[in-house]
Amino acid sequence: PVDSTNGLLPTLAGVKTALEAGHKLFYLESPVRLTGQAFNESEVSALASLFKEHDATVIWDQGMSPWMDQAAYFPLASHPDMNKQVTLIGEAWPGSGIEHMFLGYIASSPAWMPQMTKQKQIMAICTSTASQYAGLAAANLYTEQHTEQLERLAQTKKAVIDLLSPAYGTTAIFNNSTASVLALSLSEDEKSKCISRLQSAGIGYADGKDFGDDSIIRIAMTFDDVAITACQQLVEGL
Amino acid sequence: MSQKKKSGTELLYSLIAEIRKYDDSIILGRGDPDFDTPAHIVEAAHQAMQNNLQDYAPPEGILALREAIAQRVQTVNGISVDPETEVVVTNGGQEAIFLMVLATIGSGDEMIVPEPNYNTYSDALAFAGGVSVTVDTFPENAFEVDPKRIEAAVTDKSKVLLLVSPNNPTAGIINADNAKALIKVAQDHDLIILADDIYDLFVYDDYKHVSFASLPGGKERTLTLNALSKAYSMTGWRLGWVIGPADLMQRVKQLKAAVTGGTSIVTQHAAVAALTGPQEPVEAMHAAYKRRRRLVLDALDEMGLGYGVPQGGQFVFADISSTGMDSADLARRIVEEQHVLAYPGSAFSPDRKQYLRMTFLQPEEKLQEGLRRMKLTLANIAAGR
Repeated sequence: PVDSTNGLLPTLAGVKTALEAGHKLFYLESPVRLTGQAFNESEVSALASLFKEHDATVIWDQGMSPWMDQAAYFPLASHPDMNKQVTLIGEAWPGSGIEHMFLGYIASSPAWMPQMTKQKQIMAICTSTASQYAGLAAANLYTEQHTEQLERLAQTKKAVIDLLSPAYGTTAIFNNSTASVLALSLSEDEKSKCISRLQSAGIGYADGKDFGDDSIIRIAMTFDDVAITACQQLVEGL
Repeated sequence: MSQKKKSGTELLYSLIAEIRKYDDSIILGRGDPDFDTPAHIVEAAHQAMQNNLQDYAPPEGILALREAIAQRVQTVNGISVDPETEVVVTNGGQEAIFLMVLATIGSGDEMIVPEPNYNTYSDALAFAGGVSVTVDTFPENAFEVDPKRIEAAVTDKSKVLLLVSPNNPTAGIINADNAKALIKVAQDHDLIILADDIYDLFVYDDYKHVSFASLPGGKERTLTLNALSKAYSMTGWRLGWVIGPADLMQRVKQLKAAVTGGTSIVTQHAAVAALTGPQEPVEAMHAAYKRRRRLVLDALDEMGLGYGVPQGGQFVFADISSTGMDSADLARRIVEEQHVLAYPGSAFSPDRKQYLRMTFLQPEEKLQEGLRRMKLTLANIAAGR
């Protein structure tokens, strides 16, 4: 089960119950892709203890973590010995303009990698050579521009929250950790209007129904003013 | 791992790793064309990087590419498809295979597979929990697929019939009469046909390629894959497709979305250029393969090795039984002694240990040198050395 008061993160009690029932493979997102909420330090420590105790394996999706303040991000794999039990997945160099070249990564222990590599070969042989070389260039670009991009997104998000809070109330807005998205919990009618406005504004959004929660809409923050303008139009249209 | 017999794929990759140690290596086994990707395709990719990087890339592929694919399969294969619902773009032919198998096979379902075959099908089938039911083909009739033998293999668990023409590794082509008979078998037993057309542009002498989905009764039960890797020398670009009836394609699209999401937008724009631009580079490659095919066959004749006449594709499946050796052992010996790699038949089928697959995907000088070196090892073996 997930906690609607904690950005839809799985509850620690739920993870413990699943482990005690004998489950050995877990898929966890941190941040949660729909809401942008990440496990905090004490939660990650508690998870590490549980997974170590039960010798479970974890696939840790950290794809949205680059858009967090890294001082506030706590990866499970950084705990002692957890790197043998954790496989990391994510997108390569977000914000470098190569999103539609579909370059991602898996990082795992030597014990797991041969099987994963074999599976990759079965499914697709390899990743496009052009995408891989673009990734090399993107790595350098990321280093140069990521900090500034993160600051801009954070400013955008603050401005958007200031715009939407009076309209929807602060309880509707997920107080998440990730600067790249803002998630709202809305009624069906509110959500429908919101989607219509966002589509008109040409701004990216994700419908929670595609993630299993109809009540949520996730708005993409932008480096420029598009997200702010779109949310202004959204509020004016209410 | 060292105690287990290597799977076909593992055997090939271990030999590839071995040959890479040598600076003067000549690889006569891999299926990657040695020609450069045509310049106009590279330029299209460059333009896409400048102008299209932020374009949305839906899982099924951009419409312009799906339309180009629909046009291509109509013109080349005689298959009519709706680009909106009957085409999905994939990350290469390999992903197309994976998606087609996953879309049609459930746990315990049987797939009838003419053998020998490209080992990837078995890997995908194992992932899906399916069971392979193999039907042998023979060099005496150029590895043609016999519809009667296929029908004899049908059970109540049979779900899918895999048909690859030209076949990898045998280079055999399924002729029109057998194709029609195979469709009838599929109709009579309600089988889905998975058709691999990836070598459809590379046929030789008077042989003709026939797409199953172009024949009466074929389209509604056939998923067909193809890719740009062989025809346009684009192996590293990873662009393929699956076409088929809308109901099956809906499943393929769902799986594509779940497995890899989209395909690189840059590659897709390059693919549009490949399919709609000048085709002379493809014709030039075909002419080169014809010349090289002759070289390889002449060399095999000189070595005293038999083969099923390669009717299509880019390789020949040579019978090395006269050496008295297992093909994996022979392949390894040729790697070690001559730094030349030909693929052992056992990598494609456990029952084909007496075959080597040689491709003609090297420039003629290198091909001749590789064959010259192979002759030396074969001469040593014949002399008991």
